[in-house]
Amino acid sequence: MTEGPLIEVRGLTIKGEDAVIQRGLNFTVGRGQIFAIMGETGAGKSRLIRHMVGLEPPAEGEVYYQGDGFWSGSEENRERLMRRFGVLFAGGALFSTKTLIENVAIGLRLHTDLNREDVIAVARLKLALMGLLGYENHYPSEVDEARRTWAGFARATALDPEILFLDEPAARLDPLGARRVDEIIRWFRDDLGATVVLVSNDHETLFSLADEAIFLDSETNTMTARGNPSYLRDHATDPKVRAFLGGGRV
Amino acid sequence: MEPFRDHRLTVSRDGDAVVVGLGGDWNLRGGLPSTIAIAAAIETSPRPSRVRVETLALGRWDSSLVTVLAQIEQTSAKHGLDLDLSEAPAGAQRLLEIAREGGRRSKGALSILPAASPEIRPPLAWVVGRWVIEGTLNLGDKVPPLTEAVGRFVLESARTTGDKIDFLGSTAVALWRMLVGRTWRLGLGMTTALQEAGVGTLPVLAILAFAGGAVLSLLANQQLGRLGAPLLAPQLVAIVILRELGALATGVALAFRVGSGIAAELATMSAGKEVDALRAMSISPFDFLVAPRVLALVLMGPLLVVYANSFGLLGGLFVGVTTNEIPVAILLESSYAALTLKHAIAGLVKGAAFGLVVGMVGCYYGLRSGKTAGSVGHAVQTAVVAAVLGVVLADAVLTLFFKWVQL
Repeated sequence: MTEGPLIEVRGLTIKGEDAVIQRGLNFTVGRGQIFAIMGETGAGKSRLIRHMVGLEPPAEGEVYYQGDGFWSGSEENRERLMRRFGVLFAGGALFSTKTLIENVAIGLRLHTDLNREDVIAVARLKLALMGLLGYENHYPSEVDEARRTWAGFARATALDPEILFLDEPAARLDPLGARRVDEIIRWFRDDLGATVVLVSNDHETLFSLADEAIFLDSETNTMTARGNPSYLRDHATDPKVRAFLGGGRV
Repeated sequence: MEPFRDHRLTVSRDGDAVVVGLGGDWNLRGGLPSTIAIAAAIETSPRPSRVRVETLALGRWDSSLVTVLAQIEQTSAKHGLDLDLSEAPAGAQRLLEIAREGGRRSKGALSILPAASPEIRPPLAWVVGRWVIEGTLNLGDKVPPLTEAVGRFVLESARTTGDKIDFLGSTAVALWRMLVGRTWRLGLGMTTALQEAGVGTLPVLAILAFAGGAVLSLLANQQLGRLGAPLLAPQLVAIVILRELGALATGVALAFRVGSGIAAELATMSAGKEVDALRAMSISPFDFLVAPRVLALVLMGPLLVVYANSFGLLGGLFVGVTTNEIPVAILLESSYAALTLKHAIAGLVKGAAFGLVVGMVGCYYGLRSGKTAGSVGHAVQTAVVAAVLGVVLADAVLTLFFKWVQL
């Protein structure tokens, strides 16, 4: 069976308080791709993710999942699509009144028929993958920032989502942690068949991991480049994109 | 180091060019020279076609010079004239270019023009009149005049009314879903919520109720004694405490202690994107955050009223016994006679209602707060004020209602 792109963003406009932040965003993400959104601070990268995962309707345009209109459809349809997503927010955004294992378990409890013991078992596995065993019963405020990010990762991946949205996953990690994130993203794609959409400006992540990337420009208010990051570094038409990727000066 | 000479800015004409001469030492602490003369020179006929900057014994300079160069540039651009900056120090030109670049990036064109025309001094009467009017209507620099504040309040209320009704409806639905057990598997933390709402309020409520009861008893003894009916005092005190004082003290204590806490907690959660994370997982914040807190307050309200009543009565008795105006046996008997179920129920209903009000208000302002850490403080402030007002208003409405149903 031939299928179209898994995700298609068409004519999307992101609006800020009173100004348009991005307009005319068009791109597709194929199944199994690792797709990076890069751009300067304030260019609307996180907002784009929010539009794609259902937290905020875009000012204009639409996001299609396998041709299915995300915002134009019913709320039930949107919720059904949202169950296929896992979302990691910058900093983890853990539920502060719940322990780490409860944070991971809550989605399992809500969206699966697993019994109590199995929920805990799966949640422990996810925590173990992120190197957090021994911290199950800690509250988010009792562990450091890096561990909160890891726990956020565990929660985002708890249900083995089909599409994983990651907002700056390595922002609060040291370089070693950042490489470990790359590894984890890779095996989520290779072994669990996930499609990954991530916001990242980390060169290593971009060059070694991302199949495709777009660059959101905060001056022209639209995406000024799209393609493989290593290719863009040397061949992007916009000199700013080349400079951003370390391939020359503005 | 040599002492600073004053900066100099001269304007002259050279054929079709306006020549701006810059000299002396430029130091920000010395202030900026006015560039208004340049605009004036440009506007004199015959109209010039360009502006040239010349330096005349220009000494040290800092950003004051760059600022003035930017102003000159904008003035010439406004009149469509070419500008020749080549004589300006290279460093200043470079800084100016970086500033232009920054202006383009942030999309606010670099705008540092001086006021278009020299300030005209308004007549004295106008100044004094304005001062008096602003002084009366204005509470401070940041506070808008009364008229504006009222207007804003009305508009804001109208704008958020729909949102508030929506909030009420969503909370009602979430409470229902919780009561029929559909959301329990989320792990709602009812124990914590009950503890927060109840136990935490006990100390402050005890003091509030005891003091209230004591003051009430003192006043009643005095005034009724003067009227020659001191024996009515214990009854009056008991009824007021049961129907009004205990519940009101509970409501106020809940607003200050629990309403503020809820608003702060939920606002912090919003700022930390926890609420977004919930929504991304298709969990309603109303199910998960609002319903347990509101329900806990509704359950704890009446219990706290009982507690407040006890301390209020103790306070009243303490004063009654120590002032020694009525024999203790009669005092106790008379108080006891007033303790009827009817009065108690009125207080308990109020307690539950106040719990509801405080819970809803706290959650509303918590969830509707901004996304930054600074908005937490604002959310708490608004929530406490609104919760106390809400409690007092609910008290008035319920008192009227009880009168109507003769409770």
